[in-house]
Amino acid sequence: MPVTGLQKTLFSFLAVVCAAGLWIISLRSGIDLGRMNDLGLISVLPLTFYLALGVLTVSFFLAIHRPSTPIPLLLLHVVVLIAIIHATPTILYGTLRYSWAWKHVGIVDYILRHGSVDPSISFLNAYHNWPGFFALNAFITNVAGFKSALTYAAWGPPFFNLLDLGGLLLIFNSFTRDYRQVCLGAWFFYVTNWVGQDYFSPQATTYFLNLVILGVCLTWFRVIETPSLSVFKRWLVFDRAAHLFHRLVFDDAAHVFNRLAISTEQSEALNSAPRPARRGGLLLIIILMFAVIASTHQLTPFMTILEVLGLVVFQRCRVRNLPLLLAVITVTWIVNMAVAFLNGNLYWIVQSIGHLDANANSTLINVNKVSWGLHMVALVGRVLTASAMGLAVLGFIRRLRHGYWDLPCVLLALAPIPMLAANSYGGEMLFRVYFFALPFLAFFAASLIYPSEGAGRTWRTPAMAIVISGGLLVGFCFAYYGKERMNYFSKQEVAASQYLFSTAPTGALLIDVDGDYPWAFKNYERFNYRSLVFDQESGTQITRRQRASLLSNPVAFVSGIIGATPHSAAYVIFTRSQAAMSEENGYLPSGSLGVFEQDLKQSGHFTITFANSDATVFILRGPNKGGGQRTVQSGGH
Amino acid sequence: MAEVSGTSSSFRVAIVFWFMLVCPGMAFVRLLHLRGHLVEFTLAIGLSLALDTIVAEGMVLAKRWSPEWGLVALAVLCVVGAVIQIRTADGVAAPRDLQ
Repeated sequence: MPVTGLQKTLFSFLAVVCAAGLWIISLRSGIDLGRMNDLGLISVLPLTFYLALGVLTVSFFLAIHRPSTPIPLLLLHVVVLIAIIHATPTILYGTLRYSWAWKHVGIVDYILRHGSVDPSISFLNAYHNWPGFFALNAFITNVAGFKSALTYAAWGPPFFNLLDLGGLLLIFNSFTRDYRQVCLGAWFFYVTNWVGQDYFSPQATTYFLNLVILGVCLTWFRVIETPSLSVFKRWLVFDRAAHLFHRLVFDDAAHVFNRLAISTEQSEALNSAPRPARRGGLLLIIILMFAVIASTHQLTPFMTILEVLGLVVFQRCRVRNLPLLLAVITVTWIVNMAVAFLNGNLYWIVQSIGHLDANANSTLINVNKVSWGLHMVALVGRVLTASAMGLAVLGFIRRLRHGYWDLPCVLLALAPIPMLAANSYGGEMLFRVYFFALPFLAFFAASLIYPSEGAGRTWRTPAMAIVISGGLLVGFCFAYYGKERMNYFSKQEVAASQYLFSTAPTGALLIDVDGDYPWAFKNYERFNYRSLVFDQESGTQITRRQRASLLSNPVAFVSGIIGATPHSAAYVIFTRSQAAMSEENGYLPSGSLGVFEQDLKQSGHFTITFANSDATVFILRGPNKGGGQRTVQSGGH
Repeated sequence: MAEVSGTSSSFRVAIVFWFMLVCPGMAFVRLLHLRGHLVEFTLAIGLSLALDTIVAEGMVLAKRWSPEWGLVALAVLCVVGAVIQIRTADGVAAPRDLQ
């Protein structure tokens, strides 16, 4: 008896349930996170985890190939994918991931205690100058009755990725009516989004808002009719340029530009214009969301402006003054509210303008200096990125051959690139450019499989798609989970940090190895911070000479730091995660932290004030040193 | 009500997150009569986050931190949006947009 469409749908649903069941089984299989090696979380995840991803992938591509599959069922596959890849660390660890997420909790804590921010504060002042995200979370923490944002911050990755799904669907639905491209585009986004900007952070929030703004512009503010050549020339100032400079060149350029706008538009006419009242309401929503972006994150406003500017200039968004309005909002915030930050950072901001090569390369680690595991993880990340771009280029070409220019998608994929010439953004600009271009790369990658509504109906299509997606998923697991030995903090390490930040007196000096521990999450402004392997002023690694000095006489090195910094007490904290960070990145030879601890213990100048299996906290002996702790505290078991 | 009554924490947390992430935005997005619940929800969450952040930032920058009054401000916004919805629904019903 032939299987009916309903039975096939039921089969797909059961496959999703099976995948989810396998995933839950994998989480309950007694994973020992302490056994993670340089390949991170994938070195300890059981086979059932990978089986879950495999079952889900096969089910998704079989379901998407069937015209009778309900769209909600396809989206359910994507939701379960998000849960598996992003909720796994949250559930397994039980603690907040990434040291930089902990300092975000610290800013929320500051607002909860002070009820305000201090833009002139010397440490972490960027967050006080762009306080939107932190104010929001202080509000939520208070209203929900939590003591700290730590209660929910660990759920950031699954939460923000679920939010982003709504934005992606809004955007992709403006590009095509083919639900297969839409759903597959979302799927490809999640299996190639390895850069990890989805944690408890301002940028995760503004990224979602950015997606929604683009979705609104593309859906409801499309140009209905490309303007005439004369209007075109006048608006884009080609006529003035032709008058002042070379008439022929600018006349020809205007013709080409106009033809490009018209010819590409013909393959995109999808939506009609909303009524004026609705347009006004949607525009107000854009302005409110962008105002929040401008007051929450330094980089996202510029990305949004570039994206919207591209759409406006190439006649894909009819709100011609929108880029100007967004720029005014951004500049207004910076000039009025972020002056303190600019005063202290203008030099490095200006210095990196125009240095495209340096800004891009500062993101990339030197793979020859790191551990074998981190080397492999870095290379896989680069291969995954290159694969996403390569699939996108092939998808664009295939779409073109089927008669679709997808100019808005091309523009949005390319829009973030100029930011590489603007700034290094602390060495992260390349990741951020990839992150902002990724939705559009993912759409084109999906277009490689389904370039048009009539294409991709043979059995070869799901087979090819499963192979491609499987390869991307393997790369994703390496790239996204590969650094978890550093990003994961055990309960013992958290207990040590809790002790340190709760008991250290105001004005205490807290010395760590490389900053990779749960730090600055409580009373953060009361302390001074120093790292052994990073220079305080520049934030770069210490010189070779300093490193040699540290390795040969760690006690003298630490004493030098303490002597140079005013303090009411001095602490040194060693943790398992810091050892992993220093060893994997090549900051220090393997086993160095153990030697440092021994030397400090034997020096007679330091006492162990807290210790457990994953962390040790030393305090400098002497009068007026934090109450003269002599007994050893231990906890977190 | 959950905030005032101090009822059990799980219930309170669920109510708070639902209210803050959906309600303020949905009160106004519904006025746009958009087609598609997913589209409405996406815009509603985006607008809710924006309104919550504006209220919170306003309190922080004005150094008038009062989560209770912030909650009242959001509730007022929700009521305003709901009243406008009721009044426009009493008039001629606007047809839903294609998107």
